[in-house]
Amino acid sequence: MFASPAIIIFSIFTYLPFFHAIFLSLNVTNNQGEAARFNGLGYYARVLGLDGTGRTDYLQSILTSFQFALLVVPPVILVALSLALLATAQVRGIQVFRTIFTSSIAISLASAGVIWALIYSPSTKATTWLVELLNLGTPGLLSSDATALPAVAVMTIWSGIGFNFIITLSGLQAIPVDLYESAAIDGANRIQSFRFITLPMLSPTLLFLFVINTIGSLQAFTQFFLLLPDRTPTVYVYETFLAFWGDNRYGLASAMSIILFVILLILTSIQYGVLNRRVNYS
Amino acid sequence: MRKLGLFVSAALSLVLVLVTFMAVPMVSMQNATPVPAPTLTSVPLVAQQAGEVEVTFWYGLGGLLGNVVIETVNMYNDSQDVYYVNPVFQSSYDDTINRINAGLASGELPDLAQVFEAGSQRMIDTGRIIPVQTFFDRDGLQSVIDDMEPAVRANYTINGILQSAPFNSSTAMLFIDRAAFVAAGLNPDQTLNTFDEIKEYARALTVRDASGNVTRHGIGLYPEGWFFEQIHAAHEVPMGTPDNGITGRMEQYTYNDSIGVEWLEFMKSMVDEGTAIYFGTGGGNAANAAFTNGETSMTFSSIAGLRTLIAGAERAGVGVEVGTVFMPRRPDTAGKTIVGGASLWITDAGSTEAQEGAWDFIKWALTPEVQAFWASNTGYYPVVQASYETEIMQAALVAYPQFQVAIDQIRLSEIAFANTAHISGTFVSMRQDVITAIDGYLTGAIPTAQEALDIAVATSNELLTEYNSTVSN
Amino acid sequence: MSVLSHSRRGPARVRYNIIIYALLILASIILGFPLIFALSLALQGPVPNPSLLPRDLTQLDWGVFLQVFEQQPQIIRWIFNSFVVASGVTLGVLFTSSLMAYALSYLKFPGKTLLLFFALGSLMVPFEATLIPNYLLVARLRWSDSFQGLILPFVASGFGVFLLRQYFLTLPRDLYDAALVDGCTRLRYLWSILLPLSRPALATLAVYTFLTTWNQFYWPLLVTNSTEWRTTQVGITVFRNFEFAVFNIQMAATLIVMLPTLLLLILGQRQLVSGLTAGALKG
Repeated sequence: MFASPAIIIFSIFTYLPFFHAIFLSLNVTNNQGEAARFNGLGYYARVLGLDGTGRTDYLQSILTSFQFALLVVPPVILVALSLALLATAQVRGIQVFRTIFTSSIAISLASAGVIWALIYSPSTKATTWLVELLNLGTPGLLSSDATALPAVAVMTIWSGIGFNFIITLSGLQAIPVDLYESAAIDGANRIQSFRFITLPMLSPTLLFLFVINTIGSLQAFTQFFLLLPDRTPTVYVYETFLAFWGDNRYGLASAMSIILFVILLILTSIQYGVLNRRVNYS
Repeated sequence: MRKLGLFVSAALSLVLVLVTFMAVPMVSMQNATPVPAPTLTSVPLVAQQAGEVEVTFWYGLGGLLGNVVIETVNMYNDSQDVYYVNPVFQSSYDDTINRINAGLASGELPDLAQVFEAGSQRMIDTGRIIPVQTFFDRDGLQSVIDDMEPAVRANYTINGILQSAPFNSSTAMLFIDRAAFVAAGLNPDQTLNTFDEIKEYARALTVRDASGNVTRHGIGLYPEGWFFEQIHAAHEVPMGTPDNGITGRMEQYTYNDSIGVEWLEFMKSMVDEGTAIYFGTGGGNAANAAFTNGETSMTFSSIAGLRTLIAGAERAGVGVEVGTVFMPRRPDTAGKTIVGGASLWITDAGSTEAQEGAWDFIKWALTPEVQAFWASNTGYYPVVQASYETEIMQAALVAYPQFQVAIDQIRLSEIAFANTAHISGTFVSMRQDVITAIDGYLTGAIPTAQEALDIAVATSNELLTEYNSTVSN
Repeated sequence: MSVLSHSRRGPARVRYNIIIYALLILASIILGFPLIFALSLALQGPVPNPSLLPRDLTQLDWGVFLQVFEQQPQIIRWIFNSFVVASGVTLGVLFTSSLMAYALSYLKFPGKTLLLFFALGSLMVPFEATLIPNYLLVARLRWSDSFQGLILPFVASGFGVFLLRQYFLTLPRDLYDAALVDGCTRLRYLWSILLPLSRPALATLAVYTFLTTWNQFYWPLLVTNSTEWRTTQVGITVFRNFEFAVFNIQMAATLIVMLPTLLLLILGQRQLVSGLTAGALKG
């Protein structure tokens, strides 16, 4: 049938692996990735801190992931919104600026990571003034517990501006002009029209961005690989990578990814469920 | 017709790229230059001749050292026409072992692999290696083994059999800026120093400006599992039982002991005093850069990095004179440190000819002249003692006396299980646990060194027990 | 229409313009800072202590871009690899998605809704959950360091199916019914009529897939082994491990590797924007 090529690929590379991952998560594996010993829900208990040893390191990394998301999502949407508002100005040459604001979408996380790693490196002195200002005591922003995560967040925000900008700008441009005109006639000032027209009309877009950015930042990997390659502090997906690539514990890593799947599922449902009510669809 | 247009432009670009791809051979196929000095430019490979048996060789050294690996391989390929060793760079030692693990499932294994000492147990557990002792015995070359540096030989002898051929061996040193030492009235030639003495030096070497800010730190620090192991060895304290995993499979790590705690507290006290700057995890490169730039006057590193550091100091041009002293220790402790670096393992993956080729390369690499070439161009010391009689080596020792200090350090005491590198299946992860402990303690996240190490050892043992349960033997 | 523009005349307009331009330029500089930084570091030559902006504007080392190719001639191969992989995945996604979307939007058969959920469900399964088994599979099949290993897992895309299906559904159905009556086979309808009509959606999907595949990092990291098989993204980071404290070549290489996607963005911007926003606004 027509759909067969797609079905085959989905089955082999998406669904089958998913079930295989569930299988692996219940076992301890050997070097070759084969199941060597049945472990039941042992790994799940370990990750979720329920194994009785009181160790919460993996739970901690989940928390760190959420912290990271919190550091990234609101700022990136805010910045994109501000830029989008700015970019609706009717001046000559605005298209050039719009392209500039969009450009980060074409810059891969890897390229951005390599560049920002140098921006933050003590050897290039680009951010050492900030280190001194904050009196950190470490040579660079990435070596201090307090600033490491925010530093990676800033880089992620920068990377994400392009995509968020495009979507927000289009959302702004889709708002019917007459709404503004009638508001102006009624004597509304700029702040009021923003609050009562722009924001509500933009809310579906903002919700979409909120969900997409949250899911994306919870899955962040590349920037942690490049900027914070050693363990502290680190996010859940990177811990999964270390368990799999560094320790060769395929079972544990699989359990961790299944847990991530569940978290994302729950999160998306909550976001759509709760926030959808506040969104204005006209 | 936009879709057609898209197709056409895609096709055209493909053609364009293919054409540029053809240009690649022209850019990279130059004749290999004979015995050049190590540079930072990537070195081209000698081409394979027809009829030569290919021996795939996975190695994990990059940068300047990686170039010397390629030069060494080129020399071998040029010297004979039966075998062709094809070196494939694997980004790092960690990646090499991961690739080998992946290769177990797919059957894609190299004929010859350079694996770091932490990977020894893993290599044995693959069940796919041929201990080099087999070849030595068959060709009656026990004399070569006997002539090896004792510490190095001990490192790779497990269950009484030499499993792999040592190739690049190093040890950890405390690198010092001799010029700064002299200017501060310290003696740069005193190689054996205690923890307290180093703390004193750090105080004397720290320079502060008028407002009390530190402009030069006495020492630069970063968390490194290997140094932790070195300190244990120097004090003849094993990392785990039984016998550091050498007489039998390692069952349990025990490194949350008093010397471990002392090492962590040693570093922390200097950070707290302001005489040390802590570069954080992954800070090795930054620490080395700071050292060669004169921003610190002491730093821990491997002797393998000697030439790289000297080159860096020259480039920075601020008058840093690179010197080396032993790893610091408690008073009256003259124990040797452990051998780092990597060795060459032969696998049974390839044809018998390929295995013979791997063995042939190893024999050649262990000759005094080649070891002298290797050592004099890097910072690794030769693994066969006959190398010291070659002119190249003697000239190198004269030009780089820092080298001799490293050699002296690994000969400080008799070989024992406790001062030889330990063997375990989860060695690599254990190092990560130690790094996490050191980082947690030095940044203040964990209040005491004992607590940090207790957490680390619990994690290491959890993994070790799990690993051991999946291996049958 | 903008929140910002209320009509102004004369000096108020000029003031408005100045403020706007000032803000725009400020924003551009802040946003562009990392790229300016990269360029500045690239042009300062192999100094261990580069300053933020080149001290001597007459001494810019433009030759560094050539040095990148001399030092690491593999970069050409990396660009080639990325290109082949990105094109392969793009063509594959276009192929599989249009077929499946066609089936889902036009054809009648039992279990159609199930199939739709099957396709969309693939979007829910995060990459990380399938990563490990896929890696093991690829290793076992000896597909590391190969184009198949880099391309095949991504050749079907739930996003692609969804995008195209939505688009197909907006096209008039009567055209299809009429064609069938005239004896046109379903396949021919797809190829000769539906696809040409769907050019905007196809172009969007193509640009988006090409961009995201070119920028992939995690998967190529796991699946490529020898230097020559690296894709551009992994290649520049391997590059970075090679030298420390000498930054100009690293930065130059990163800039070079960025060029194709920047070019694609400039050429395909309109297409990409309209396609992405169509997806977002419909929720």
